[in-house]
Amino acid sequence: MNAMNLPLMLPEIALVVLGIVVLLADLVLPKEKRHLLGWWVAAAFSAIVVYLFVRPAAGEPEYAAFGLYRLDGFAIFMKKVFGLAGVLVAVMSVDWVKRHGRAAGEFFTIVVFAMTGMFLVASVNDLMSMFVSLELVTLSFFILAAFRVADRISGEAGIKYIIVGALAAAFMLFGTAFIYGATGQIRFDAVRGAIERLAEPAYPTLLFGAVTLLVGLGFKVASVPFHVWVPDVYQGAPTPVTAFLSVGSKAAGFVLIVRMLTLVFGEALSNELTPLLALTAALTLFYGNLAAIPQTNIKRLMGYSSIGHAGYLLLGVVAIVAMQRGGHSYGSGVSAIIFYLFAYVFTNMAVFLGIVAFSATAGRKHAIDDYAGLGKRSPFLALTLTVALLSLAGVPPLAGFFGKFYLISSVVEASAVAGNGWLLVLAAIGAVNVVVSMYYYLCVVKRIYMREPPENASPILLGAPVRVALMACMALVVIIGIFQGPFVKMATAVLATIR
Amino acid sequence: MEIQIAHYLVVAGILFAVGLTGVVVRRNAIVILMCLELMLNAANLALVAFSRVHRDMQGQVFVFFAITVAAAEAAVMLAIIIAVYRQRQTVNVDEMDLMQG
Amino acid sequence: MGAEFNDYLPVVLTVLLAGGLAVLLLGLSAVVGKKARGAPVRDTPYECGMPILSEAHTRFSVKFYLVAMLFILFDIEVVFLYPFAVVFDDLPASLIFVEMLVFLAILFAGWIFIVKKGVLRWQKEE
Repeated sequence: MNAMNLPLMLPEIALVVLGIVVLLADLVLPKEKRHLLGWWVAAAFSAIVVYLFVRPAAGEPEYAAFGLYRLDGFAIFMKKVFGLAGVLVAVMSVDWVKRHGRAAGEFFTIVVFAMTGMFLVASVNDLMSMFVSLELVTLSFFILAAFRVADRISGEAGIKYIIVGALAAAFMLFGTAFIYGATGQIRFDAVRGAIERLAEPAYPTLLFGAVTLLVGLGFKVASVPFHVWVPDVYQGAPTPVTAFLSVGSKAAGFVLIVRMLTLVFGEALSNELTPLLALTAALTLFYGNLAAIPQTNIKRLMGYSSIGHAGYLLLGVVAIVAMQRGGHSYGSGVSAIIFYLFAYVFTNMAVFLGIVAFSATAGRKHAIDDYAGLGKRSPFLALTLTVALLSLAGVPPLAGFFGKFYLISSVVEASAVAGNGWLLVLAAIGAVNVVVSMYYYLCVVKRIYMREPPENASPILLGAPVRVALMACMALVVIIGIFQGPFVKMATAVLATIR
Repeated sequence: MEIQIAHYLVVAGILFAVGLTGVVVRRNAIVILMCLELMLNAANLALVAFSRVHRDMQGQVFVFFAITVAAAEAAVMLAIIIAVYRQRQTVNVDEMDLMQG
Repeated sequence: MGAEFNDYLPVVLTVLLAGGLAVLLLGLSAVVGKKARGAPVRDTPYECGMPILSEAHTRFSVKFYLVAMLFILFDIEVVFLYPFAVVFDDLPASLIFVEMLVFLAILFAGWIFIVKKGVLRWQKEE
């Protein structure tokens, strides 16, 4: 563990170099060519993902930077997911940047730095690098959300996001300080060791630190009651940024929650955290899904839907925490979260690709009513949007259905293992919310197919790259749904590397 | 009187509470930014105090990084506030209500 | 706990004294002193001396904020230079030196960017 081991961090190093190259290339390229930097970024992200696929799989976790950096199967898996999502974001940004055009170089530089932060988040192994990496992601998103300063909504979204985001950072840092205070260590394994031989009086300090830290992470993943920023930021931020945000902030937050629970806290806080997280999960589910129903703006709808999905993912977190009590194996919770994140990222990306492609031709229209008659204006776009929305709603046999199924069944299993009947109630709440969420997704689908397009509506034209990206996402959603076997195996294999 | 860890933690707690109250109560974005910095510095104070208790330098190194992150955050926030001010001639967060629902 | 808080007595007394004195003086001047009405000269900061040229609350140019922000960002990086030299004296010097060079190179790239973008140019060229 006590070595620099630089080659392990090759993807991150490559990303930093890429960011600087893009930044400087912005200075030398002529203005009308700068949006092409997006293709450089997409190509570089693809190359990194390919590298991650061909590099020999990590058996045992490997460490770099004197133990600050941990590369295991989970980290590699998340980096592949982040990288692929980054390719999609770059593809949908090129056109957007070209249209809204200034500061193309800055935009892609910040996208690259956000990606660097996400890669680091997947690999953090101590409290300090956790804070710094997560803040790298969040700071980049602050700038991206407010990127269209000329647009009043974007600026407003930026201010709201940065106030809440910085508040979350303060909570995280405060919590981290108390965890350090209780244990005297910052490296995850050392903190774990210190917790196991923790003296009784230090226990409240640790609990306070852990809860405060989880509050901070709750902001990032958009769980109730720390969700207030989500709808406004989703609506106000540029659409490609919203897509990136829905993946980056949420997935990065959940990666860290899983890391903290499995690598650091373990069994120690299970008793106290289980009811707390279960309550949060239930509130998040209800709030996200009920508040989504009256929405009229599709981006805002996706914001509330994102809160709802944070609720589902929290079900898996509750399962982990509950099963840790008494040292039971908590595998099903983790693998359900992994499977769900994988499915969610690409489904969500498909929806946002659709929204970007739609508003590119139809003008900046984001009302759900504008999607009326899309089935006639562009059958392909309508089909992909429908498949993605149905998957988000959890209609079998699409990816989202099995994701939700595994999460809910992990809670049921946890209830049996931990002997806690309340968890069955939580599982039931999860199931009820699947039905509730179907309503508002189906409302959008109804508008797409059952309504007539407006009189003067033109067909929606899709560029070739967007078409390919949409096709890939849709194929993934359907394939994960129909042949989940290999993907479940993959999630289980990833799980084996976590401990 | 000997100053002990508890005293530092009480001060850190008070700073954090003052900052949090300010973020919730005040409406001026610049004041909110100052309150946020107060909260981050409360956490830094706690870190340094704990570092002293444990006779361990890691906490202080942590504070270096936290200060850097806080500076970056302040710069980004100021930049966004200025951009919004140019648009609307106000930094009052209550007037930022273009999006509802 | 009680004994501990007794130790704070001097502090409390100081605060009370300082606050009390301020309130007393202000209150006395309000009660005893005469109100100066209709004398604009008396409302100025300097009753005798320089005539006032402009308000103290002038708006700063946005340029000022930009430069100030950049100053914060680049200034704060110095915080890493000193501990770097002190803490890592047990590691091979070449590794540490190269690492610091990389750190500075990244900063330098940022500096080139802001200079080229003309952020530091105070006045627009005609």
